[in-house]
Amino acid sequence: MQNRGDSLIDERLIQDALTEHIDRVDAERDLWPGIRDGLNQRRRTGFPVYARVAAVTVAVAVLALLVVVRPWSLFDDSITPFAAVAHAYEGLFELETVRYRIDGTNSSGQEFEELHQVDMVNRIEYSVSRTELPSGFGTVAGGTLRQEFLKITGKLYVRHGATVVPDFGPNAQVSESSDPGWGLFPDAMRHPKEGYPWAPFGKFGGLPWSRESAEGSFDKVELVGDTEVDGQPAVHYRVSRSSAPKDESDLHIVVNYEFGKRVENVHRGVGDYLRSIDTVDIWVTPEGDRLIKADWMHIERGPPLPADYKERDWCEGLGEFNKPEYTFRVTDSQGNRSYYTGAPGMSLDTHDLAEAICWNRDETEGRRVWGRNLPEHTGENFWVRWVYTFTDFNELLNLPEDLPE
Amino acid sequence: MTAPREREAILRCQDGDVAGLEVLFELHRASVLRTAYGIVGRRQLAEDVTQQVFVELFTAMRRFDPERPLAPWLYRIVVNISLKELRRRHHRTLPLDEVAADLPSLDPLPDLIAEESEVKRSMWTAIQSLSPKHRAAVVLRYYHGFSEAEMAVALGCRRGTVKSRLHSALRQLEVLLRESGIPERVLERERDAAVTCDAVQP
Repeated sequence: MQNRGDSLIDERLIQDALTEHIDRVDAERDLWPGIRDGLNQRRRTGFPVYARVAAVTVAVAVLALLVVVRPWSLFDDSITPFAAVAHAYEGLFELETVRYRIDGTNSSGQEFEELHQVDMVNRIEYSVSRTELPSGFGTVAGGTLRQEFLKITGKLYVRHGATVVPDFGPNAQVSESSDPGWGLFPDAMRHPKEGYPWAPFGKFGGLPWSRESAEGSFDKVELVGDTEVDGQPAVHYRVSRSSAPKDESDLHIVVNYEFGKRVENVHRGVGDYLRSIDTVDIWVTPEGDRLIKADWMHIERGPPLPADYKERDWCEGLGEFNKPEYTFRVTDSQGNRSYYTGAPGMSLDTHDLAEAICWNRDETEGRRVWGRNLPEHTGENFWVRWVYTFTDFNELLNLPEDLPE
Repeated sequence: MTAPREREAILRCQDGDVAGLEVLFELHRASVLRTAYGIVGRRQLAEDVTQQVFVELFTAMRRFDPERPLAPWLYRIVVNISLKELRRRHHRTLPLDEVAADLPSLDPLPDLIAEESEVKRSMWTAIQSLSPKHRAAVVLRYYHGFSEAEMAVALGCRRGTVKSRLHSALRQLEVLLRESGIPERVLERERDAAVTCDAVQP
């Protein structure tokens, strides 16, 4: 192997160092008994202890919320103040596996099949906040956001180094007068009469959507309907393109899962081997009854970030919250910069965050957003998480208390 | 392609037979432990991770397609649990002395070997100074020799992300090595040797 670019590092040095140090390592204790005990514990409990504790906590908290918040009040037009119930609960739960089965036929008639199995070993942290938003905060296209922000956008697509335009999908509605505010994040903020967020467990479904995409990418999504895969209920989508691929096709699949009040997603790009594929069938299946809800999917292809993009178009934040397109420039302590694009509600989960700036692509004047030199966040370097409460966004941007009207 | 013994063990696991897991444990124990060690940097923690990995493997095995290679899937669990444990324990990067203390002692070495060993130790320390995600990428690539596609599965990210993560890791390693005071001549010699070796390869 040769040096990479002008790097001083010979990759063989890395191999040698790893081999020398790692190959020496062996367990000093017999690991098998611990594994056996772990399996027995899993069998006895079904879930890890933390998950059971979290589940009980959630159940109690939900009951408390039902009593305090009176969710049935959501069905009328009144707005209930919830300021006293901030951070009603939070905790951990564990999501297991999501599967995609993708197959299709390429332009040469060759069949293509791939099973994607995403093992969600990671725990999902969730929290529900009910915080009274500052006055004037929620004006959205003629409607007024509800003050009780239970949810949760899930409407954030992140691609390193590229602009991805959030799309609110085919069901997007902005501020229906009977239900003001729900249109901001329509897919995730389902109307309560549809079962969300009060009965989020045990259901899944959703609609795919596509954004206007670059030439030749997958830009058509059809919901074929409900079906079964391996005896499990599944939702079948068919994705195709309206024109021949111009270059590398990029099919990006995002499936959001409502998890309690929170949305997590599984994010997969499968473009690398889909260059010659014209049609792709996708089945989304839940894992048992533990996967809560496959809320929506989207297909995306973002144009590259313009070279001069970073130096212009600062957004001021509040006044533009109803505009979905934000780009964040994130700088770590070593001066490395990354760019993310997302919607309001986005949070940066990093412990090495020196600076985060966001701007709105529609703005023409350079104005900085509130909040720089952000407080330390726990988590992983430069990974953007999906955050679902405006509380978190306030924290991100360090918004002042007295937001202007 | 999955080896017959491994495949049989997978099928037994999917039937709920712990004996199948025991076979997988014997097959992959050392590699899982060492991979975890490469990421978390401490043997005891790596042992804990290894135990969790096999518990998780057995639990999740019923959803695994035995027609697919096990390794990327297995190492995805290893990476995930390693990163999770690092987050949970707020693991800090260990200084060289502590890292060295966790390893068996070395016999006295001739000067040249000692110098090369110093380079390797510095490299190891530099690797341990990377962020956990970068470290995981480096271990999978340079210890296991994973392809980018396999790494994408194991790391749960896109191939483009794999590339950028590796590139960033190499850059950081370069800076760290320079800061570690490794004599230029040593690095030059290593590089020259690598060039020579590459030159004779078909």
